[in-house]
Amino acid sequence: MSTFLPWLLITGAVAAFLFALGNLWASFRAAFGGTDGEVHGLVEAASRRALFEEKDTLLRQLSELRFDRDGGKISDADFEALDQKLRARAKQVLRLIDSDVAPFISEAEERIRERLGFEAAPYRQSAKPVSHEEESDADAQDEDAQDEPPKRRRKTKKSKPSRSTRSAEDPQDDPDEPESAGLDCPECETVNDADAVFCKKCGHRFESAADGSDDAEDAASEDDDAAEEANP
Amino acid sequence: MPAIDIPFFGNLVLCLILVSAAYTLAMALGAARGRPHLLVAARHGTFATCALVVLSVVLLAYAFQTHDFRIRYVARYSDRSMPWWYLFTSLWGGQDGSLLWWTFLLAGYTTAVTRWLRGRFIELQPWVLATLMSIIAFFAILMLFAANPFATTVGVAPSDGEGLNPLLQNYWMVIHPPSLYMGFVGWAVPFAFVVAALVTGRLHDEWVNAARLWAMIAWTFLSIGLLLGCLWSYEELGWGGYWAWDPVENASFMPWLVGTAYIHSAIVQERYGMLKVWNVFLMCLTFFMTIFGTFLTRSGMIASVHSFARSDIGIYFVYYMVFLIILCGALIVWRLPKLRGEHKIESLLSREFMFLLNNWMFIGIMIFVLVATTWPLITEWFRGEQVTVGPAFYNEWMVPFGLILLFLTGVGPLVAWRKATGKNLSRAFRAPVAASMVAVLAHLGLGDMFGFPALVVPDQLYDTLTGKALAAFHTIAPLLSSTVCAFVATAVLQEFVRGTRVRMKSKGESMWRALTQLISRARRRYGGYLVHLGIIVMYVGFTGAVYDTEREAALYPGASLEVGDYELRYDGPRSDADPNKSMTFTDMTVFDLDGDDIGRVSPAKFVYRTNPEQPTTEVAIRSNAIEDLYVIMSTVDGESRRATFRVIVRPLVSWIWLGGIILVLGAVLAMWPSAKDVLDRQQQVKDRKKRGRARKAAAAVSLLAALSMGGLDPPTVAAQADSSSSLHAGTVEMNGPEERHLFGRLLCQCGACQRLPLDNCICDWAESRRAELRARMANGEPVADLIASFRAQHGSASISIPSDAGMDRALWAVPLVLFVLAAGGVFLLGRKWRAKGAAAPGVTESEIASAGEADKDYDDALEEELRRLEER
Repeated sequence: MSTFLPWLLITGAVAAFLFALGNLWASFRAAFGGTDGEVHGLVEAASRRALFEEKDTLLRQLSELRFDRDGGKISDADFEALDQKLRARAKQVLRLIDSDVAPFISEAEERIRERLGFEAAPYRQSAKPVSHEEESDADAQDEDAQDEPPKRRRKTKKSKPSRSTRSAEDPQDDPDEPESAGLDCPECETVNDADAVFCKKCGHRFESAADGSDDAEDAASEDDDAAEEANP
Repeated sequence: MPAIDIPFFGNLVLCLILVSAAYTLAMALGAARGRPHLLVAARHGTFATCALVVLSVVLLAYAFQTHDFRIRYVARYSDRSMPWWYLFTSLWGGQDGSLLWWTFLLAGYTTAVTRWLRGRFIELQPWVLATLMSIIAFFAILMLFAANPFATTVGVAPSDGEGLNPLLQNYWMVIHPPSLYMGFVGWAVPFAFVVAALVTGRLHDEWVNAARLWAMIAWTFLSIGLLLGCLWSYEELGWGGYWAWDPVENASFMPWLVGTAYIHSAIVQERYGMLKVWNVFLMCLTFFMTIFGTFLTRSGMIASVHSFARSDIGIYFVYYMVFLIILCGALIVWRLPKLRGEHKIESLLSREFMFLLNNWMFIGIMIFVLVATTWPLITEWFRGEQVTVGPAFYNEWMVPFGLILLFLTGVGPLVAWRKATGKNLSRAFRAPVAASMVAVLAHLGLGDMFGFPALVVPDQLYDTLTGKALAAFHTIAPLLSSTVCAFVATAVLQEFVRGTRVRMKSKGESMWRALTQLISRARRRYGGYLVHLGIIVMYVGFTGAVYDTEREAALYPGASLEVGDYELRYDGPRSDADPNKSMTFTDMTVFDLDGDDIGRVSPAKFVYRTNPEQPTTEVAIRSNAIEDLYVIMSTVDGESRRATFRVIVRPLVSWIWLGGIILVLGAVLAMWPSAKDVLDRQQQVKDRKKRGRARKAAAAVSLLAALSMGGLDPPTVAAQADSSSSLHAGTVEMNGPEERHLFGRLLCQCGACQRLPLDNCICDWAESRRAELRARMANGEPVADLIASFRAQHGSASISIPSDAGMDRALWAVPLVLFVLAAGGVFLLGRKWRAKGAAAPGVTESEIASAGEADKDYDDALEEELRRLEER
């Protein structure tokens, strides 16, 4: 062992050094804009994963709450109030997930139709791609979205802020603030969480939430940064 | 071996670590300002920095294995006779190397959290990476400018090294320090999340969710580290106990207390959005205490048997601590408006308020320990002399606090959230109160019969009213302990029973299935209860210390000694040697009360080749569920074969280790990822790799637990099998408990011995003082007078327990006043919140209204998801 070990350590040292070099190279490439795909993947994956994880957390909380009620650990009135609150949020999250996966569902249904020659049963009514008739109904209800493309409009209607945005929607924090419908990305028109820093599709940076501070000066300087990024 | 210039490469890599960490920090800060491509750069930079840290550790390990004595650290902490595994443990055997090891573990955590963060918490991520990189950069600066593990020796390199301290050449050295460091370093990750949350203003439960797993990992490792420290102390150091309240032990204990408080109060934030400021503060304080603990260990400012020599690095830690205080203070003050709780406490009889009380106890104990630990510094500032606080002080004062905390552990789960009604309180408390009543009666009635009397009159700490009050409390402490343990154990078990019944009723499951499903579906909750159960079992073990029986005797071969239910016959000395050390064993045969031979013990002395002046004491322990027989050989005369022994019968010690195992199992259960989590990850990333990693992680945790358990549960421990020890323990011959009591209170003042009491110190000064005091005792002088006279002669720093007068009284009075004031504050706060809480229900009308607006399509979908969750 005592003769074998130094060689093992040398091998480990070389491996660690190569690994460090490789990552430094990758880091420089990323810093100078050579890994756009990785950037977009990172941001998009984070957004989607956050939704799924929040859904799991809410489901667990709901289940535990019910268990506490059954075990006499929480009063019925308290249970009702908390249950309603959690359910409301859980439904918002489900809606966001559906809006996120809707393009994939419609693509899957399209492929099924092509392959089998008939319509597949819809995955979930509210997640079903919006037909032209539905679109016209939606348009009637949501005049603000009239100038947007169909896919975009559907998302706008269904999108709600994520769990992390409760501060924005929480009436206790700011009762006067209307419920946010999310941020529209100026680059790819995807709807994001109200306090998102990056667009979940293209990685575009939003000025208003960039540093999470209320400081006007910071916001101004970030505007400059954003302009630089948009027009390098 | 290839000739590699390790000192040069080592220093080069340390520089690269600093540069890479600084570069990554800059990238992360850039990413935080909204440039996602810089986040990718920061992530790669993090991996590169961590790889460089690994490289530096590998280089130092190589230097140890190849005996590169050009490096000062290698020359000081190894020699050519050491086997390869001790050469490996030498990496953290000294100050410079342990700092590198600290950085290495931090790099490990950083790599793990960076991987884990992929696709998670995108807004927090840049600040998390920036914080972790800044900590790595701090340690890199420390190593480069103050404690360089690659610094070279002055002049020609020695042909052989000085060798690792014999105290550190045992298997505990392999597992205890890394585990403790893992616990210490691990708190950096949740701290990074809280900094990220404060800077970005995302202060809802996002950061709490993100930090939960990492806080649990750090807490678990810290708990394991503390437990292994107790075991090491008990089996190897040979002074007869498992916890000496040494400053370095306290330095590990304080972050554990604060971290435990955080783990509890975070639950309230997750549930009701309350205690946000408090949680942020607790997390910052936990990390601060880890740095403070490191400072205590490294600066050499407080004498401790663990401490590294006084060095220059203390000032760096002072700067860093000041920086942390300013940073955390400023961030918390800046974000105060966003840290307001969403709800208020509605009743003082609520689970939330119980959590507050529990936090009050944890922080109160922490303050008590902090004041006592830093008392030498405080007295030096005010009086110009360092007054040390001995273990007797802590043992006396900690018992009441510990019992209150244990009681709260039981009460918390019994009280309903928001507001407990009389009906559910009476239902919840019925069984635990009945069990505690039974325990009182059983202990009073049967305790004497089994050798565990309910009332034990202790030694008085002070000859004052405080001393009398404490003594009165300690007289009934065994009874209180058994009562509270019974109460809490029943409360915890009741939770399992009630939960099982609820499932049996609502799901129609069998009892066994309901129980397993109950635990597997709420692992965090029931893992937590298991941790509580472990604590109760440990408390039973701690209580056993009250019933210790001890005897000391000088014996010739063939003579016997009776202790408790044992008789030990001294059979004679025996010598042995290996290339590293010479060993002298003293064989003894153990008989029970009936005279049956029940085994053999062989306490020993080891003399290491590299440290002949520091013989180590190897204790022999026979252990069973009821008691331990603990034998220390103090001295042996080679010519006359006369040996002196100290024999202690310590009841219920095994319960401490058993409780530790339960605690660790509970913690692992609480943070065990669900099968679904693993499956989800499989779907999201690469299937098989993920599963393999999960299995590896599980195997690693299991291995660690198994290692711990293997060490924790020795039926009969041959402590000297592969080990060494001790603080010169047992090398001083004592002529009775009165002498031990006296010499235990007096500290050596020769100037060279650190904080060693006269019952342990073997220097000439201590020997001459003992002779002098023995003569005075023989003349009939009382022990109290001898202590007073010693104090008058050598100053108050020469006494291990400060007096109960003048400024010394502040030692217990200040923390106690703070403690009581905090209790008042907690109740006032609770009442104030309660008043407001009535007007601010848990869920507002507008929230309910907003919930009501949800379209009905998703009600069915949600029910379906919940049904699937139940079926999983």
